[in-house]
Amino acid sequence: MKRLCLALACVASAVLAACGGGSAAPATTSVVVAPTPAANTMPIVVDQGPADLVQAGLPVVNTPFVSVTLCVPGSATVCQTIDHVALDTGSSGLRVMASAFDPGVVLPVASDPASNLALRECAQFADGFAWGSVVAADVQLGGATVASLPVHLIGDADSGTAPDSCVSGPDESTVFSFGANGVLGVGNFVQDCGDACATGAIPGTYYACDAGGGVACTSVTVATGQQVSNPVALLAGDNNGLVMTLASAPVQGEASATGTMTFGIGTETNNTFVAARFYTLDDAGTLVTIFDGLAQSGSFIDSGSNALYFSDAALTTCSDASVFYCPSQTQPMSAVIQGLNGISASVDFVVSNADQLLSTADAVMPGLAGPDVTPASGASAAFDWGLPFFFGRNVYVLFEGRVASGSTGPAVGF
Amino acid sequence: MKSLKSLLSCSGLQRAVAPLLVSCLCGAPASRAALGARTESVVRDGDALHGTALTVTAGAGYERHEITIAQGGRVREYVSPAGIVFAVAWSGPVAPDLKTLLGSSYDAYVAAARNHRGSHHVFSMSTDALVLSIAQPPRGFVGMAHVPALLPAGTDPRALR
Repeated sequence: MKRLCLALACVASAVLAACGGGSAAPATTSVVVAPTPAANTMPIVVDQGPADLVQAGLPVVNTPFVSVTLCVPGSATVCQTIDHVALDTGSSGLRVMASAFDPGVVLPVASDPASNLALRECAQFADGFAWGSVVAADVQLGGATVASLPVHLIGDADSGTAPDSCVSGPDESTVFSFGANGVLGVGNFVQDCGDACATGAIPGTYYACDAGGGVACTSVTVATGQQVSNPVALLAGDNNGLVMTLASAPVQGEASATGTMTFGIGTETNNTFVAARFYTLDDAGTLVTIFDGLAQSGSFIDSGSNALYFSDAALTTCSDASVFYCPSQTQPMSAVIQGLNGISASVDFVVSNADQLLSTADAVMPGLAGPDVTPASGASAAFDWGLPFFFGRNVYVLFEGRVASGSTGPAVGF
Repeated sequence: MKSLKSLLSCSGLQRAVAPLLVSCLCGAPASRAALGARTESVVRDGDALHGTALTVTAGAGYERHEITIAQGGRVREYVSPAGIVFAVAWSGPVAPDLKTLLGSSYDAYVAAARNHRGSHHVFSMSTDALVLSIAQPPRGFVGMAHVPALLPAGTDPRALR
């Protein structure tokens, strides 16, 4: 935590005094003015998460967070800034917990044009679901704004209970069960569902509801422009993708880390595409990982996963948390990532003892990894490159149909 | 969308499967369970999942029943020589109804997922009662589950295709 506190103190005091300190302090007093953050950037912090979770003894690990400001459309003053929104390159769209809003900030609920009923959404995850209304908000991302963005407001009182066809696993519609005050999905796709939900009424996605939720809800189609969407792709400029940059982290872990999300790829002097290549993705956002000689075609690179998840029978799982690996010593390993365009790269990573990592108060764990039991190879085999992949890298997310450096998305660059 | 039953009544199905279809369509037990249930449940699952096609393929020591579901998704149910669904797998742009697909194992998934903290995009559990893994790439789902006690002898669940 020390490192983060120092950094914040520097920013806060920069206009008043020299920002020195420690052995590197200059001998003379000179005023160092902190540079104004570029309009196309947002700061990222990897820490223990929302205050409520930390106070309850339920800190999170390896989760990058940003702060997002949402305003009632057309209003510059009726706004709410929500901290600890998870930054997720593995999904698309902004979802925020209704409980994070002050009572005076009421975002208008969207309606289904065909029935004029309230539009609500079910977000299904691998480990549960979240339910709530679709609302409109003017969303501020760093120095940029997206007007009237469709946003998923999770757990709002108006939405009532989730319909049966939404319920899949446990309900994660609270800060405690979700582990964040929201999620900012800045993945490769513009909408969370896309054409599938524009052409078909798919259970488990969008619903029109007559008073509350439950049986009053019917699955409906939603035009792509009304779907919950990745706001970075809807910016007026710098909208072909983004760069996510996290500082490198020591193998043994550390309290917290900082980074930057920069909008656009090759559109400004601060987002040039250098020392990197693009690896193109399929319609599901997946590429190939070759590990242990086997090609896993359902692999993905995802800042929303807090560990590297892959199968390796030679690694022992932890006794008290079988969702992670616990080798007796940190293991250096490598795998090959290959895009649909045939571009490939060997990627080194480490697997550390998760019991030891999780016994600390650290929120940054480059060696955190866990097993999956998907097939050993083939289209359904997945190597999930979670946040450990991002430490010490510039990771470029090129949106679907957008172009940068001669490549067309969806693609990931590093 | 044509119902699965109407498709099943046509002649495209393999002859070996016909007898169990008859038993299914003529009042099978009320249970809709798939994983851990008898073969007949595959067809009920097809209807419950709004399936549009069913193909049956003989595998090494098991039979694979594949149901095509909404938006190009796919559900596979693996049936042992004893006629029990011992494993299921799914993939596609939207998740299938896990209550139907996991049957009596669904509650074990919910309980384990409730205690799960961390990634929402991947979930794995491995207990004596249920081994399950779900991955959620940017668009879609891939999942697999089996009941260890029901595995036919010599079957490697991770080699199921």
